[in-house]
Amino acid sequence: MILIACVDPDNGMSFYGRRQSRDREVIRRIFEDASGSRLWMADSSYPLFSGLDDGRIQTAEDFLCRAGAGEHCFAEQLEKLPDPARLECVVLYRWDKRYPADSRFPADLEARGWRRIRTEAFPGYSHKTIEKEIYIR
Amino acid sequence: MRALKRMVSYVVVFCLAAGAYYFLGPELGGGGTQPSYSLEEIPEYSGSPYVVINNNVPDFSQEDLTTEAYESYSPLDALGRCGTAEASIGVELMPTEERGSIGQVQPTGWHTVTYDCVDGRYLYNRCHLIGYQLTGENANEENLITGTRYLNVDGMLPFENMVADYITETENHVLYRVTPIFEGENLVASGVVMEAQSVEDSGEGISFAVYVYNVQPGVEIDYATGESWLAEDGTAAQTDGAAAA
Repeated sequence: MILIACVDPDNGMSFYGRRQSRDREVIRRIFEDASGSRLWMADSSYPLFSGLDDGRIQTAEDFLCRAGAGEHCFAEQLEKLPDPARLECVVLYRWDKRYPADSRFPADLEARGWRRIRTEAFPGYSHKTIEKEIYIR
Repeated sequence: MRALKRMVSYVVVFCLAAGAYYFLGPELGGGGTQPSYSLEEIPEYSGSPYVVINNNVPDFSQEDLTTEAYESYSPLDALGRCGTAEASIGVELMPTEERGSIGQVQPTGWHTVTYDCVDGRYLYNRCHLIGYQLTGENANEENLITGTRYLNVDGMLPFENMVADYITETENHVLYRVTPIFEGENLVASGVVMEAQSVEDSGEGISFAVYVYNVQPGVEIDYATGESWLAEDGTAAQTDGAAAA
């Protein structure tokens, strides 16, 4: 399973159940990242991708449990990291601005033995710079 | 030290015909285009730049929610203080140019004063009630208060960013209201109430009601005048251009 999430500079993810931000360029890239595999997400995330869906998107409330090896999961709410035995890679898209947060990415990846193997910066539609960080164990 | 919790309440009535408004609350005042809700309890600042109020539900009525963009600013009161600023913000109101100078505006309680412990050193910013990135209002004295750097950057800006991104990406509208809260005849606001709700999706994208503290960690402020000093030992500020700066 490849976990994908969007975070702000303080690892914030959402505020009172609402996403902190969005960017159509990030959505396009996430969909592109998952080319050739299924892309799992919650029902509430689907509207972000509805214009791109070619049948590869699967929605389920327990999508983190149902995703198989090599499949991508886009998570906007995370109470804890998925089972490490099933988690192959983590991709964080990091906003360049701070937002209110009451929910944060639930782990300091590098403190837990994950290695950042690549960082790529690119311009978004509503953000000057977004960083894509890729972590593996 | 103030009590852990203080009871505050305010009701503001804006009288269009007379071009004036009345403060009915015993302690706090602020302008407004609509009667506002009671703010029963504000916890003392305890490390977070903002606190959720009213269960994070903004106090807008269905009639308030419109896809027609507008912006409205309260006239300054007899002390020269700002009141409520409200807007229905869409991409049509958002600025297309970089912000210009606002240094000619002197909000009430203004002092030019610096501390090493403050990010950027200046304690006070001319703080937009409705941020420039949302409506493009530049040097509008009815939209600028004396706010700490912490209020501006750590407290209000994250909410402005959330709203600005949502509008840019969806081209929807957001009803947005900011009310500065002044205790009695203080010249510096104790904080601001920020409320917002996205219109076309009935708050699914944006909905919040928060109180943001006009404080600066490490610095004590006399809200009656805007005078300030280091919190640890009461040492005077390092630079002070005084209120007339």
